Amino acid sequence: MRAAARPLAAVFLGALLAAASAARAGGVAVTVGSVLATDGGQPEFDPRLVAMKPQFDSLFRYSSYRLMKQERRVLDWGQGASFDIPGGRYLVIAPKELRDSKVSMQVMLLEGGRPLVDTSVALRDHGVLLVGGPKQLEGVLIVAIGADTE
Amino acid sequence: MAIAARAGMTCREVEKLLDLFLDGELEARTMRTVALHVTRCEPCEALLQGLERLQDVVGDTIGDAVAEVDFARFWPSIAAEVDGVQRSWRGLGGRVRALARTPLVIAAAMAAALVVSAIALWREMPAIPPPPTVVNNQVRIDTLTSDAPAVALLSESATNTTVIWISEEGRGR
Amino acid sequence: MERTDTELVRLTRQGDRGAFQELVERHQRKVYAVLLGMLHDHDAAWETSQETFIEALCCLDRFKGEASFSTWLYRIAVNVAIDYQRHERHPPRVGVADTTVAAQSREIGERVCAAIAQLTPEHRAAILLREVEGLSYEEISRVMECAKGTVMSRLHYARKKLQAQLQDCL
Ligand SMILES: [Zn+2]
Repeated sequence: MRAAARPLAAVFLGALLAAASAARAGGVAVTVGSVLATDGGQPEFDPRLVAMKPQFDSLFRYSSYRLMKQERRVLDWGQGASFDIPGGRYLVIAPKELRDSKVSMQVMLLEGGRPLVDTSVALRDHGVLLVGGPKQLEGVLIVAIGADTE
Repeated sequence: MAIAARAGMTCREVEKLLDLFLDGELEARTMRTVALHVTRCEPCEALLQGLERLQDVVGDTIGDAVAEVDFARFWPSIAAEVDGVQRSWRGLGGRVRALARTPLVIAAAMAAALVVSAIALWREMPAIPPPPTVVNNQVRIDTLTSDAPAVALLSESATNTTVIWISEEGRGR
Repeated sequence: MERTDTELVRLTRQGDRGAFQELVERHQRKVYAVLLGMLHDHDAAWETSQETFIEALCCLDRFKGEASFSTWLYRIAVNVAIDYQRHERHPPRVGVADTTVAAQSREIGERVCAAIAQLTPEHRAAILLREVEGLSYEEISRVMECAKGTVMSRLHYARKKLQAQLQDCL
Protein backbone atom coordinates (compact mmCIF):
# COMPACT_ATOMS: atom_id res chain seq x y z
CA MET A 1 0.00 0.00 0.00
CA ARG A 2 2.95 2.24 0.61
CA ALA A 3 4.29 2.42 -2.88
CA ALA A 4 0.93 3.12 -4.41
CA ALA A 5 -0.01 5.73 -1.89
CA ARG A 6 3.07 7.84 -2.14
CA PRO A 7 2.71 9.79 -5.38
CA LEU A 8 -0.40 11.34 -3.90
CA ALA A 9 1.51 12.69 -0.97
CA ALA A 10 2.67 16.07 -2.12
CA VAL A 11 -0.47 16.99 -3.95
CA PHE A 12 -2.59 16.06 -1.05
CA LEU A 13 -0.49 17.66 1.63
CA GLY A 14 -0.32 20.84 -0.32
CA ALA A 15 -4.03 21.13 -0.65
CA LEU A 16 -4.55 20.07 2.88
CA LEU A 17 -2.13 21.96 4.97
CA ALA A 18 -1.22 25.00 2.95
CA ALA A 19 -3.75 26.89 5.00
CA ALA A 20 -1.85 27.37 8.20
CA SER A 21 1.32 29.32 8.44
CA ALA A 22 3.36 29.48 11.56
CA ALA A 23 5.03 32.61 10.33
CA ARG A 24 1.97 34.79 10.50
CA ALA A 25 3.10 36.15 13.79
CA GLY A 26 5.65 38.38 12.09
CA GLY A 27 8.88 36.40 12.09
CA VAL A 28 10.29 34.34 9.31
CA ALA A 29 9.72 30.63 8.98
CA VAL A 30 12.92 28.87 8.05
CA THR A 31 12.84 25.33 6.78
CA VAL A 32 15.92 23.21 6.56
CA GLY A 33 15.75 19.85 4.84
CA SER A 34 18.69 17.47 4.73
CA VAL A 35 18.62 15.20 1.75
CA LEU A 36 20.86 12.21 1.29
CA ALA A 37 21.72 11.69 -2.35
CA THR A 38 23.26 8.34 -3.23
CA ASP A 39 24.30 6.44 -6.26
CA GLY A 40 24.03 2.79 -7.12
CA GLY A 41 21.44 0.39 -5.85
CA GLN A 42 17.77 0.59 -6.56
CA PRO A 43 16.78 4.12 -7.61
CA GLU A 44 14.53 5.62 -5.00
CA PHE A 45 12.94 8.98 -4.58
CA ASP A 46 11.58 10.03 -1.25
CA PRO A 47 7.96 11.00 -1.89
CA ARG A 48 8.24 13.88 0.55
CA LEU A 49 10.60 15.54 -1.87
CA VAL A 50 8.39 15.06 -4.85
CA ALA A 51 8.02 18.78 -5.47
CA MET A 52 11.78 19.03 -5.93
CA LYS A 53 12.18 16.04 -8.18
CA PRO A 54 12.60 18.02 -11.40
CA GLN A 55 15.35 20.10 -9.85
CA PHE A 56 17.22 17.14 -8.46
CA ASP A 57 16.84 15.12 -11.62
CA SER A 58 18.18 17.89 -13.76
CA LEU A 59 20.83 19.31 -11.46
CA PHE A 60 22.36 16.13 -10.13
CA ARG A 61 22.89 12.61 -11.23
CA TYR A 62 22.26 10.58 -8.17
CA SER A 63 19.99 7.61 -8.34
CA SER A 64 18.34 8.03 -4.95
CA TYR A 65 17.23 10.91 -2.80
CA ARG A 66 16.02 10.57 0.71
CA LEU A 67 14.92 13.25 3.13
CA MET A 68 16.88 12.46 6.26
CA LYS A 69 15.73 15.28 8.37
CA GLN A 70 13.45 18.22 8.12
CA GLU A 71 13.08 21.05 10.54
CA ARG A 72 10.99 24.14 10.38
CA ARG A 73 11.27 26.97 12.84
CA VAL A 74 9.90 30.42 13.10
CA LEU A 75 12.64 32.89 13.87
CA ASP A 76 12.49 36.49 14.87
CA TRP A 77 14.41 39.01 12.84
CA GLY A 78 17.91 39.27 14.19
CA GLN A 79 17.57 36.02 16.08
CA GLY A 80 19.93 33.22 15.13
CA ALA A 81 19.14 29.56 15.32
CA SER A 82 21.09 26.39 14.94
CA PHE A 83 19.78 23.42 12.99
CA ASP A 84 21.33 20.01 13.34
CA ILE A 85 22.43 18.49 10.08
CA PRO A 86 23.29 14.80 9.72
CA GLY A 87 26.92 13.90 10.09
CA GLY A 88 27.43 16.02 13.19
CA ARG A 89 27.19 19.19 11.15
CA TYR A 90 25.06 22.13 11.95
CA LEU A 91 23.63 25.08 10.20
CA VAL A 92 23.38 28.48 11.81
CA ILE A 93 20.82 30.78 10.29
CA ALA A 94 20.23 34.36 11.30
CA PRO A 95 17.56 36.24 9.36
CA LYS A 96 18.41 39.91 9.10
CA GLU A 97 15.70 41.73 7.26
CA LEU A 98 13.01 41.56 4.66
CA ARG A 99 13.65 43.91 1.80
CA ASP A 100 12.16 43.92 -1.70
CA SER A 101 10.38 40.67 -0.88
CA LYS A 102 13.69 39.03 -0.13
CA VAL A 103 14.70 37.57 3.17
CA SER A 104 18.31 38.37 3.78
CA MET A 105 20.12 36.13 6.19
CA GLN A 106 23.44 34.83 7.28
CA VAL A 107 23.82 31.12 6.68
CA MET A 108 26.70 29.09 8.06
CA LEU A 109 27.19 25.39 7.59
CA LEU A 110 29.69 24.13 10.10
CA GLU A 111 31.46 20.86 10.57
CA GLY A 112 33.06 20.86 13.95
CA GLY A 113 34.49 24.35 14.12
CA ARG A 114 35.10 24.48 10.39
CA PRO A 115 32.82 26.62 8.28
CA LEU A 116 32.02 24.71 5.11
CA VAL A 117 29.95 27.65 4.02
CA ASP A 118 29.54 31.08 5.47
CA THR A 119 27.34 33.17 3.32
CA SER A 120 25.17 36.19 3.35
CA VAL A 121 22.21 35.56 1.11
CA ALA A 122 18.94 37.14 0.19
CA LEU A 123 16.26 34.59 -0.55
CA ARG A 124 13.06 35.51 -2.24
CA ASP A 125 10.09 34.79 -0.07
CA HIS A 126 9.42 31.05 -0.54
CA GLY A 127 12.71 30.70 -2.36
CA VAL A 128 15.03 27.80 -1.75
CA LEU A 129 18.79 27.71 -1.59
CA LEU A 130 20.59 24.41 -1.91
CA VAL A 131 23.87 23.73 -0.21
CA GLY A 132 25.35 20.42 -1.23
CA GLY A 133 28.47 18.37 -1.39
CA PRO A 134 29.46 17.21 2.09
CA LYS A 135 29.95 13.47 2.16
CA GLN A 136 27.43 11.53 4.13
CA LEU A 137 27.28 7.77 4.50
CA GLU A 138 27.49 6.36 0.97
CA GLY A 139 26.51 9.57 -0.68
CA VAL A 140 26.40 13.29 -0.30
CA LEU A 141 24.26 15.64 1.61
CA ILE A 142 22.14 18.29 -0.04
CA VAL A 143 20.70 20.81 2.38
CA ALA A 144 17.72 22.78 1.22
CA ILE A 145 17.08 26.05 3.00
CA GLY A 146 13.82 27.84 2.54
CA ALA A 147 12.31 30.93 4.08
CA ASP A 148 8.85 32.38 4.05
CA THR A 149 7.22 35.22 5.81
CA GLU A 150 3.53 35.04 4.94
CA MET B 1 -9.85 -34.26 37.85
CA ALA B 2 -10.30 -34.38 34.15
CA ILE B 3 -13.16 -36.72 34.74
CA ALA B 4 -14.78 -34.43 37.25
CA ALA B 5 -14.60 -31.58 34.78
CA ARG B 6 -15.90 -33.47 31.84
CA ALA B 7 -19.01 -31.48 31.19
CA GLY B 8 -19.00 -32.61 27.60
CA MET B 9 -15.33 -31.80 26.86
CA THR B 10 -12.02 -33.56 27.33
CA CYS B 11 -8.86 -31.81 28.51
CA ARG B 12 -7.44 -32.13 25.03
CA GLU B 13 -10.46 -30.42 23.54
CA VAL B 14 -10.32 -27.69 26.14
CA GLU B 15 -6.62 -27.16 25.66
CA LYS B 16 -7.17 -26.32 22.02
CA LEU B 17 -9.72 -23.72 22.97
CA LEU B 18 -7.78 -21.96 25.71
CA ASP B 19 -6.35 -19.27 23.43
CA LEU B 20 -9.80 -18.47 22.15
CA PHE B 21 -11.24 -18.61 25.64
CA LEU B 22 -8.69 -16.15 26.94
CA ASP B 23 -9.28 -13.86 23.98
CA GLY B 24 -13.05 -14.00 24.35
CA GLU B 25 -13.43 -15.41 20.88
CA LEU B 26 -15.71 -18.33 21.71
CA GLU B 27 -19.42 -18.30 21.42
CA ALA B 28 -21.22 -18.02 24.73
CA ARG B 29 -22.07 -21.67 25.24
CA THR B 30 -18.60 -22.97 24.54
CA MET B 31 -17.22 -20.19 26.69
CA ARG B 32 -19.26 -21.43 29.63
CA THR B 33 -18.27 -25.03 29.07
CA VAL B 34 -14.58 -24.17 28.99
CA ALA B 35 -14.93 -21.95 32.04
CA LEU B 36 -16.60 -24.73 33.93
CA HIS B 37 -13.93 -27.20 32.93
CA VAL B 38 -11.10 -24.91 33.91
CA THR B 39 -12.48 -24.22 37.36
CA ARG B 40 -12.56 -27.91 38.04
CA CYS B 41 -9.42 -29.11 36.29
CA GLU B 42 -6.04 -28.12 37.66
CA PRO B 43 -3.87 -28.93 34.63
CA CYS B 44 -6.12 -26.92 32.33
CA GLU B 45 -6.33 -24.12 34.87
CA ALA B 46 -2.52 -24.02 35.01
CA LEU B 47 -2.33 -23.78 31.24
CA LEU B 48 -4.78 -20.93 31.21
CA GLN B 49 -2.89 -19.12 33.94
CA GLY B 50 0.27 -19.50 31.89
CA LEU B 51 -1.43 -17.77 28.98
CA GLU B 52 -2.72 -15.04 31.27
CA ARG B 53 0.73 -14.41 32.71
CA LEU B 54 2.19 -14.19 29.25
CA GLN B 55 -0.46 -11.67 28.31
CA ASP B 56 0.31 -9.62 31.42
CA VAL B 57 4.03 -9.69 31.02
CA VAL B 58 3.95 -8.71 27.33
CA GLY B 59 1.38 -6.02 27.95
CA ASP B 60 3.24 -4.63 30.96
CA THR B 61 6.65 -4.64 29.33
CA ILE B 62 5.50 -2.65 26.34
CA GLY B 63 3.06 -0.58 28.38
CA ASP B 64 5.75 0.47 30.88
CA ALA B 65 8.19 1.34 28.14
CA VAL B 66 5.63 3.50 26.36
CA ALA B 67 4.54 5.15 29.59
CA GLU B 68 7.98 6.63 29.98
CA VAL B 69 7.99 8.25 26.57
CA ASP B 70 7.36 11.97 26.45
CA PHE B 71 5.04 12.68 23.55
CA ALA B 72 5.20 16.46 23.87
CA ARG B 73 7.25 16.76 20.70
CA PHE B 74 5.39 14.13 18.76
CA TRP B 75 2.78 16.24 17.04
CA PRO B 76 5.02 19.29 16.58
CA SER B 77 7.52 17.30 14.60
CA ILE B 78 4.80 15.72 12.46
CA ALA B 79 3.35 19.17 11.88
CA ALA B 80 6.74 20.53 10.93
CA GLU B 81 7.27 17.74 8.50
CA VAL B 82 3.97 17.76 6.69
CA ASP B 83 3.90 21.50 6.70
CA GLY B 84 7.43 22.45 5.93
CA VAL B 85 8.32 20.23 3.05
CA GLN B 86 5.46 21.26 0.92
CA ARG B 87 5.62 24.94 1.65
CA SER B 88 9.27 25.61 1.15
CA TRP B 89 9.64 23.43 -1.89
CA ARG B 90 6.84 25.20 -3.61
CA GLY B 91 7.61 27.45 -6.48
CA LEU B 92 10.38 25.29 -7.83
CA GLY B 93 8.73 23.93 -10.90
CA GLY B 94 9.92 23.51 -14.47
CA ARG B 95 12.83 21.72 -16.01
CA VAL B 96 16.50 22.16 -16.71
CA ARG B 97 19.28 20.30 -18.44
CA ALA B 98 21.64 17.87 -16.84
CA LEU B 99 24.37 18.77 -14.45
CA ALA B 100 26.67 16.58 -12.50
CA ARG B 101 27.90 16.23 -9.02
CA THR B 102 31.27 17.81 -8.51
CA PRO B 103 32.22 21.39 -9.22
CA LEU B 104 34.54 20.48 -12.04
CA VAL B 105 32.07 18.25 -13.76
CA ILE B 106 29.40 20.77 -13.08
CA ALA B 107 31.46 23.41 -14.83
CA ALA B 108 31.97 21.13 -17.80
CA ALA B 109 28.34 20.24 -18.01
CA MET B 110 27.38 23.85 -17.86
CA ALA B 111 29.72 24.79 -20.65
CA ALA B 112 28.24 22.08 -22.77
CA ALA B 113 24.63 22.62 -22.03
CA LEU B 114 24.63 26.38 -21.70
CA VAL B 115 21.46 26.19 -19.77
CA VAL B 116 23.01 26.75 -16.43
CA SER B 117 25.21 29.67 -15.66
CA ALA B 118 28.06 29.21 -13.28
CA ILE B 119 28.48 32.35 -11.34
CA ALA B 120 31.66 31.37 -9.62
CA LEU B 121 33.96 28.45 -9.25
CA TRP B 122 36.97 28.90 -7.14
CA ARG B 123 39.41 26.55 -5.54
CA GLU B 124 41.66 26.65 -2.55
CA MET B 125 40.45 29.99 -1.49
CA PRO B 126 39.28 29.45 2.01
CA ALA B 127 38.03 32.50 3.80
CA ILE B 128 38.44 34.80 0.84
CA PRO B 129 35.05 36.14 -0.09
CA PRO B 130 34.09 36.38 -3.71
CA PRO B 131 32.70 39.68 -4.91
CA PRO B 132 29.06 40.23 -4.06
CA THR B 133 27.03 38.52 -6.68
CA VAL B 134 23.49 38.77 -7.81
CA VAL B 135 22.58 35.26 -8.74
CA ASN B 136 19.04 35.56 -9.96
CA ASN B 137 15.76 36.98 -8.84
CA GLN B 138 15.27 34.09 -6.44
CA VAL B 139 18.48 34.16 -4.49
CA ARG B 140 21.16 36.77 -4.14
CA ILE B 141 24.52 35.83 -2.67
CA ASP B 142 26.18 38.82 -1.10
CA THR B 143 29.22 37.20 0.40
CA LEU B 144 30.43 33.66 0.59
CA THR B 145 33.43 32.19 2.32
CA SER B 146 34.37 28.60 2.83
CA ASP B 147 36.91 26.45 4.52
CA ALA B 148 36.31 23.67 2.00
CA PRO B 149 38.84 22.95 -0.75
CA ALA B 150 36.44 23.93 -3.49
CA VAL B 151 33.15 25.65 -3.77
CA ALA B 152 30.91 26.09 -6.76
CA LEU B 153 28.04 28.43 -7.01
CA LEU B 154 25.46 27.36 -9.51
CA SER B 155 22.40 29.01 -10.74
CA GLU B 156 19.95 27.47 -13.08
CA SER B 157 17.90 30.21 -14.60
CA ALA B 158 14.83 28.37 -15.81
CA THR B 159 13.83 27.36 -12.31
CA ASN B 160 15.78 29.92 -10.36
CA THR B 161 17.49 27.20 -8.44
CA THR B 162 20.69 28.17 -6.71
CA VAL B 163 23.18 25.68 -5.39
CA ILE B 164 26.28 26.20 -3.31
CA TRP B 165 28.31 23.10 -3.90
CA ILE B 166 31.18 22.16 -1.63
CA SER B 167 33.80 19.71 -2.72
CA GLU B 168 35.66 18.00 0.03
CA GLU B 169 38.00 16.26 -2.41
CA GLY B 170 41.63 16.89 -1.68
CA ARG B 171 41.09 16.91 2.02
CA GLY B 172 41.77 13.25 2.41
CA ARG B 173 38.36 12.61 3.82
CA MET C 1 -18.32 16.43 23.53
CA GLU C 2 -15.57 14.31 22.09
CA ARG C 3 -15.56 14.11 18.36
CA THR C 4 -15.46 10.68 16.75
CA ASP C 5 -12.53 9.49 14.65
CA THR C 6 -14.76 9.43 11.61
CA GLU C 7 -15.68 13.05 12.13
CA LEU C 8 -12.05 14.05 12.64
CA VAL C 9 -11.08 12.22 9.47
CA ARG C 10 -13.73 14.10 7.56
CA LEU C 11 -12.52 17.43 8.92
CA THR C 12 -8.89 16.56 8.19
CA ARG C 13 -9.85 15.87 4.61
CA GLN C 14 -11.29 19.34 4.45
CA GLY C 15 -7.98 20.75 5.54
CA ASP C 16 -8.59 21.09 9.26
CA ARG C 17 -5.16 20.82 10.79
CA GLY C 18 -6.45 20.77 14.34
CA ALA C 19 -8.56 17.74 13.55
CA PHE C 20 -5.55 15.84 12.33
CA GLN C 21 -3.63 16.86 15.40
CA GLU C 22 -6.43 15.47 17.53
CA LEU C 23 -6.29 12.18 15.65
CA VAL C 24 -2.54 11.99 16.10
CA GLU C 25 -2.69 12.74 19.79
CA ARG C 26 -5.49 10.30 20.30
CA HIS C 27 -3.67 7.39 18.68
CA GLN C 28 0.02 8.16 19.10
CA ARG C 29 0.60 5.97 22.13
CA LYS C 30 -1.15 2.96 20.68
CA VAL C 31 0.72 3.22 17.42
CA TYR C 32 3.97 3.76 19.25
CA ALA C 33 3.37 0.71 21.45
CA VAL C 34 2.92 -1.59 18.47
CA LEU C 35 5.98 -0.19 16.75
CA LEU C 36 8.06 -0.40 19.88
CA GLY C 37 7.06 -4.03 20.20
CA MET C 38 7.81 -4.64 16.55
CA LEU C 39 11.16 -2.85 16.44
CA HIS C 40 12.43 -2.97 20.03
CA ASP C 41 14.01 0.40 19.86
CA HIS C 42 12.66 3.74 20.99
CA ASP C 43 14.28 5.77 18.24
CA ALA C 44 13.02 3.41 15.58
CA ALA C 45 9.56 3.38 17.16
CA TRP C 46 9.49 7.16 17.22
CA GLU C 47 10.61 7.48 13.64
CA THR C 48 8.19 4.87 12.32
CA SER C 49 5.29 6.22 14.38
CA GLN C 50 5.82 9.58 12.76
CA GLU C 51 6.01 7.92 9.39
CA THR C 52 2.80 6.05 10.12
CA PHE C 53 0.85 9.24 10.72
CA ILE C 54 2.36 11.04 7.77
CA GLU C 55 1.52 8.09 5.61
CA ALA C 56 -1.98 8.02 7.03
CA LEU C 57 -2.39 11.67 6.16
CA CYS C 58 -1.02 11.10 2.68
CA CYS C 59 -3.46 8.34 1.87
CA LEU C 60 -6.37 9.50 3.96
CA ASP C 61 -8.47 9.57 0.83
CA ARG C 62 -8.12 5.80 0.74
CA PHE C 63 -9.62 5.36 4.14
CA LYS C 64 -13.09 4.25 3.26
CA GLY C 65 -14.32 3.68 6.74
CA GLU C 66 -15.17 -0.01 6.46
CA ALA C 67 -12.76 -0.64 9.27
CA SER C 68 -12.28 1.70 12.18
CA PHE C 69 -9.69 4.41 11.85
CA SER C 70 -7.46 2.77 14.45
CA THR C 71 -7.57 -0.56 12.63
CA TRP C 72 -6.57 1.21 9.47
CA LEU C 73 -3.80 3.03 11.31
CA TYR C 74 -2.46 -0.19 12.80
CA ARG C 75 -2.33 -1.66 9.34
CA ILE C 76 -0.16 1.20 8.17
CA ALA C 77 2.00 0.92 11.29
CA VAL C 78 2.59 -2.81 10.85
CA ASN C 79 3.48 -2.31 7.19
CA VAL C 80 5.79 0.55 8.04
CA ALA C 81 7.53 -1.61 10.65
CA ILE C 82 7.92 -4.58 8.34
CA ASP C 83 9.16 -2.29 5.63
CA TYR C 84 11.53 -0.54 7.99
CA GLN C 85 13.17 -3.76 9.00
CA ARG C 86 13.32 -5.20 5.55
CA HIS C 87 14.51 -2.03 3.99
CA GLU C 88 16.98 -0.71 6.46
CA ARG C 89 18.00 -4.21 7.36
CA HIS C 90 17.71 -3.43 10.97
CA PRO C 91 17.53 -6.64 12.88
CA PRO C 92 15.11 -6.35 15.74
CA ARG C 93 17.01 -4.82 18.59
CA VAL C 94 16.61 -5.72 22.19
CA GLY C 95 16.66 -3.35 25.09
CA VAL C 96 13.31 -1.66 25.26
CA ALA C 97 13.18 -2.32 28.95
CA ASP C 98 16.31 -0.30 29.61
CA THR C 99 14.14 2.46 30.87
CA THR C 100 11.99 0.49 33.29
CA VAL C 101 12.53 1.22 36.89
CA ALA C 102 13.03 -1.92 38.89
CA ALA C 103 15.98 -4.07 38.03
CA GLN C 104 13.98 -7.23 38.29
CA SER C 105 11.25 -6.10 35.99
CA ARG C 106 13.95 -4.76 33.71
CA GLU C 107 15.42 -8.18 33.42
CA ILE C 108 12.07 -9.73 32.67
CA GLY C 109 11.31 -6.93 30.25
CA GLU C 110 14.52 -7.54 28.39
CA ARG C 111 13.82 -11.22 28.17
CA VAL C 112 10.32 -10.59 26.94
CA CYS C 113 11.63 -8.24 24.29
CA ALA C 114 14.29 -10.69 23.25
CA ALA C 115 11.69 -13.41 22.93
CA ILE C 116 9.35 -11.21 20.89
CA ALA C 117 12.24 -10.24 18.65
CA GLN C 118 12.73 -13.90 17.74
CA LEU C 119 9.28 -14.12 16.22
CA THR C 120 8.60 -13.43 12.58
CA PRO C 121 7.11 -9.98 11.88
CA GLU C 122 3.70 -11.56 11.29
CA HIS C 123 3.71 -13.43 14.56
CA ARG C 124 5.08 -10.41 16.35
CA ALA C 125 2.39 -8.13 14.97
CA ALA C 126 -0.35 -10.60 15.86
CA ILE C 127 0.78 -11.02 19.44
CA LEU C 128 1.26 -7.28 19.98
CA LEU C 129 -2.07 -6.34 18.52
CA ARG C 130 -3.70 -8.89 20.78
CA GLU C 131 -1.76 -8.68 24.05
CA VAL C 132 -0.86 -5.01 24.02
CA GLU C 133 -3.69 -3.41 22.09
CA GLY C 134 -6.41 -5.89 22.93
CA LEU C 135 -7.74 -6.17 19.40
CA SER C 136 -10.23 -8.89 18.54
CA TYR C 137 -9.34 -11.58 16.02
CA GLU C 138 -11.66 -9.91 13.56
CA GLU C 139 -9.82 -6.61 13.97
CA ILE C 140 -6.42 -8.23 13.74
CA SER C 141 -7.46 -9.99 10.57
CA ARG C 142 -8.43 -6.63 9.10
CA VAL C 143 -5.17 -5.03 10.18
CA MET C 144 -3.09 -7.84 8.80
CA GLU C 145 -5.32 -8.50 5.83
CA CYS C 146 -5.54 -12.21 6.48
CA ALA C 147 -8.21 -14.71 7.49
CA LYS C 148 -9.37 -15.02 11.09
CA GLY C 149 -8.12 -18.59 11.10
CA THR C 150 -4.67 -17.31 10.25
CA VAL C 151 -4.81 -14.89 13.16
CA MET C 152 -5.77 -17.76 15.42
CA SER C 153 -2.92 -19.95 14.34
CA ARG C 154 -0.40 -17.09 14.43
CA LEU C 155 -1.40 -16.22 17.95
CA HIS C 156 -1.30 -19.82 19.05
CA TYR C 157 2.14 -20.34 17.57
CA ALA C 158 3.50 -17.05 18.91
CA ARG C 159 2.28 -17.80 22.41
CA LYS C 160 3.74 -21.29 22.39
CA LYS C 161 7.04 -19.93 21.25
CA LEU C 162 7.09 -17.12 23.82
CA GLN C 163 6.09 -19.46 26.60
CA ALA C 164 8.87 -21.85 25.70
CA GLN C 165 11.41 -19.04 25.81
CA LEU C 166 10.11 -17.45 28.95
CA GLN C 167 9.32 -20.66 30.77
CA ASP C 168 11.21 -19.84 33.94
CA CYS C 169 9.95 -16.32 34.42
CA LEU C 170 6.26 -16.83 33.79
ZN1 LIG D 1 -8.68 -30.29 31.82
